[in-house]
Amino acid sequence: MRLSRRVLLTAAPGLCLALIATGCGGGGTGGGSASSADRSAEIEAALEEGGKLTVWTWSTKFDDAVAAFEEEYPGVDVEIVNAGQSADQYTALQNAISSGENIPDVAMIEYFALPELALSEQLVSIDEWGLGGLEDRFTPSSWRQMTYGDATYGLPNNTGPLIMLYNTRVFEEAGVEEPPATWEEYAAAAEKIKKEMPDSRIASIDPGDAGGLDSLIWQGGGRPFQHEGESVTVDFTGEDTQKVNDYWSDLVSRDLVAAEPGWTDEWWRSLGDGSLATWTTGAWALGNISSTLTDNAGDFRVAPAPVWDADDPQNAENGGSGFSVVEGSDDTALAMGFLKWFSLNEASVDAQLDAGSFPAQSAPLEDPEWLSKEFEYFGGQQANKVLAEASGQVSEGWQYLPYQVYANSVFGDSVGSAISGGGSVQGGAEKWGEQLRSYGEDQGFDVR
Amino acid sequence: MSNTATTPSATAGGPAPAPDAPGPPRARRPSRGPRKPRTNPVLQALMVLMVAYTLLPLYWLTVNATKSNGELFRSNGLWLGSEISLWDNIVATVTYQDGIYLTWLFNTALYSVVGAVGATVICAWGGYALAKFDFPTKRLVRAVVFGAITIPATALAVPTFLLFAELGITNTRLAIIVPALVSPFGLYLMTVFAADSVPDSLLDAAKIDGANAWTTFWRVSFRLMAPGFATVLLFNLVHTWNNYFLPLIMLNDPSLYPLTVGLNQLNNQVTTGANLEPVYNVVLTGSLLAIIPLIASFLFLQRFWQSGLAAGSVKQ
Amino acid sequence: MGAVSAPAAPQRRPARDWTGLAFVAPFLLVFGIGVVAPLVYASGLSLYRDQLIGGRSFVGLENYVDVATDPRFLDGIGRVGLFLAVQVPIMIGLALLVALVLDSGRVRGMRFMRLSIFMPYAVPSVVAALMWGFIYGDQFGLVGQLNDATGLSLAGPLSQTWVLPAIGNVVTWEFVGYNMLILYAALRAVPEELYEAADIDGAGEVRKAFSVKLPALRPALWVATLFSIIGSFQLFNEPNVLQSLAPGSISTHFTPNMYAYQLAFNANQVTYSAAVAVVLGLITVVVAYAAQRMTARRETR
Repeated sequence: MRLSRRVLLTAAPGLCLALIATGCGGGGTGGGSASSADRSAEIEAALEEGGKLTVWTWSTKFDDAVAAFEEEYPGVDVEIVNAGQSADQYTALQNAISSGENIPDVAMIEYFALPELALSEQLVSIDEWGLGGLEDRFTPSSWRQMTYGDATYGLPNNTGPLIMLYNTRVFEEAGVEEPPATWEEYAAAAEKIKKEMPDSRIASIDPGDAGGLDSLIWQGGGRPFQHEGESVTVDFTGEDTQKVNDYWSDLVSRDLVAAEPGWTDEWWRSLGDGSLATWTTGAWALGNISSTLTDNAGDFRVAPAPVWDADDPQNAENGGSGFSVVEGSDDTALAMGFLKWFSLNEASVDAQLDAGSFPAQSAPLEDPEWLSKEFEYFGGQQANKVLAEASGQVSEGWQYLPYQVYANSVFGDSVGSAISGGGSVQGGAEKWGEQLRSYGEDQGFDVR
Repeated sequence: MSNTATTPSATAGGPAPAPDAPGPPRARRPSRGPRKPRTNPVLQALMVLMVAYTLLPLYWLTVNATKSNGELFRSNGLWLGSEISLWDNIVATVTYQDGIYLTWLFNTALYSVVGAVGATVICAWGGYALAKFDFPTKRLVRAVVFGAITIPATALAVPTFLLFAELGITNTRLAIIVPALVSPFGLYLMTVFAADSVPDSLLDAAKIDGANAWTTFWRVSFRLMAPGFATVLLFNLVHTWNNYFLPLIMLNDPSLYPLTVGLNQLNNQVTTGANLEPVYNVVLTGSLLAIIPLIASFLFLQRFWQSGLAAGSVKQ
Repeated sequence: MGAVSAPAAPQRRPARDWTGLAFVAPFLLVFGIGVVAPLVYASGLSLYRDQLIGGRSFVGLENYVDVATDPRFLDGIGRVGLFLAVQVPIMIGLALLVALVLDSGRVRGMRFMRLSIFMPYAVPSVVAALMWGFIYGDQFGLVGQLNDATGLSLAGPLSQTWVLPAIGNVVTWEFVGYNMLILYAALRAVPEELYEAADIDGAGEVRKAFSVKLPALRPALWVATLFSIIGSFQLFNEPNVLQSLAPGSISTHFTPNMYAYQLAFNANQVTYSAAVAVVLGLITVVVAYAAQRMTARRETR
């Protein structure tokens, strides 16, 4: 810890505060090419020797897996710390690294944040530790999202292929017989629901959730963000992007969907009492809904998210995260050992699945026992089959910006404001894009 | 007309005898006339409305802290649910994540007590000096420090964070306590109190007796300034207890959080689905438990508030 | 001289010595660490620019030029200006009304009322915003229930149109009692002779309120107003907490303080954030000073 701080400070010129490691170190993104050195002996030795590890995650889904690890390696003491939620945690991570104090060994990193943290050299590349060969144990999409440039910065953990949860009671009452398979059917169902049940809407669109709109655009084929090295592209005027935005503008302006932030007390109540009929979200949400709306057991079912083209279903991901070893960890070898065991050991993965995590690992997705599990909450449905299929249809080529944490933080200013104010989603998105381009230029990127 | 403004000692008898201030009306009330003012129904109704307004959220919080999560989603927000789960909620709150709530409570108490007591002692010394001593640079000190009253604390928070990050002392208890020790307004109040409550003759007498300034302060002056000390202490206590912005940016280790930051983090946690089960009951019960100590202190110490506020504001 | 002047210097004239300075030294020390040093450091930092790619470079006063023309910063300043112009008078007016009523002695249960109205001051602003956030819900909160019960369709308090008044309400709720107590305390300190004189003149209650009470309250009103002005410029906690409930209504530059926070902690623009903080501090001091000059002039007239 001390060492890393000294390194940082010597790299920092003059008054440099080094809040962002590269901000002072002078940038540089070549994360070291994949010299798949086999350092497994070193890692094994560290695990045997034991020690103390700090793992940052704000999710409570990993407690049992960590306990399983500690049972396997009694010499290692793992402390789970909640250092804040998403963006808050990334800020805390940055502050910890810059001050050299309280740096965690391992941290949960959402896919959207990975490029930014990798670019600012906050994460350790696993290639240097010979873990690069584990690629085929994970879904291709999740693995890609852990890489930046030529290097991979951690192991994927969970993913969120887009699915749709729907309330069968509302569908029945409104006369919607089948869950809508395409967005066209979805709009028709939305009309029906509003007509039959004036106080209900098919869904709400969250003015604060950049990730939500991102995945809808992704699913529609839009690719507004691209980056390569120091050049980035932000473009919301692509045909597929516009198609998605205009679709939602239309639903909002016809008052067919509510414009309401998700996850609030209000929103849960709305979902529970049928004021909102569906929730299009990541596969991880099954656990959330079943443990929150306990009174609604049996009401909800899982369906694939509606698609644009029924003959060629394309899906996207919503959320999802991996775990990375943090630059400045006291014991990188031990941290790597933990990362590998935690991500792939069967006992660990099983514990995570039981806690409601949707795996990025390929093995469970093909496990017949897991696939045929019946969910009592969802009326006995074999929901994992739907999820696994959704996972298999995730389309390729999506990228986040190397400053997506910032991008998401200002989503509400432009797009969210348009959604809440009943304006055009496309207009808001273009404003958002403008801000992201000018920010990229300010930050020294080559913006195209 | 501005008589009252300039000579408070002559009017209210100075802030020192304040302890009796808010209690039963002082002598002047009855003396104002033999007729006791009659109750005015319009004013009465107005005041009842006002009280309803201020108590409504507290009522809401109390009622909803008695509900389990499921009950919270089911029941009317303004009335009790079908069962009272207050005790379960309290247990859930204090045992949540291995008792992190109690850690936050302890931190808040620590920051408040150390910060507020420290700040108040420092203000007492400083105010005493500014009121009772003549020393070189005094005018300058006064101008600078009282000018600083108008600098908003939150405008200082980001600069303080930047400095502390450079020094590598963010994410420590010191980073919260040191800024809490600075209270220009407290210094101003203590200056007023010291000027009004410590007679020069006493100091002269002490000097003749050969006591040094330090001994005189603790033996004589501090006792006279005690009511003012209590007032400033209360001010500082509330400020540090309620402090949010500074710890929010300074700390990233939850075991160092005060209640305000911890509760809001918990609330964010709930509203982003990080937990499988949203622990609204913990957020609400935790909020309720967090305000009880201060409300209790208000009930017991209200008279110091009023006397302090009178001294600080009557004087200009 | 600062906004609030110190009491008159004591008449006592001891030999010029440094004892006084020794007593005030601890304050000066923490003042140096907690106020002067951060401001100096931030001012220095504000002359640099940070980039994700390219690191830090010296840019002189460029950040200040940017701040002066930054629509987001100006948006926040404009909003707190509006807030200040509307919320502060309402809150102080309400506090004044309550203080006068309590002082008139024409209501029952004064002690209980005074305490109840003061109580919200004990509630941390974070908790206050959390509570009001629940109450503001337009489906299940108080507003929602009101709509259900009356068949009205009142707009949600957190909608774009109403979010600023909604925040104003939270702030008013928190501080009206505090200001009431300042004013009430000042009223209690009005010397009896003044009332007697007014009685002899045959003044009624209303005239007494205007000719005796209000003038006596002026200094207290000033202190209350000054702190409310400072509070308005500081506005952060309430919108920050409510943002998760109203992301489309409360932007990241809703108030200047939120903007400074956003810049430093989400946008990697620490140095620019330092410039914003410095400018914000200056504006506050200037406004408070100007307000004081205005009052002072009126007083001497």
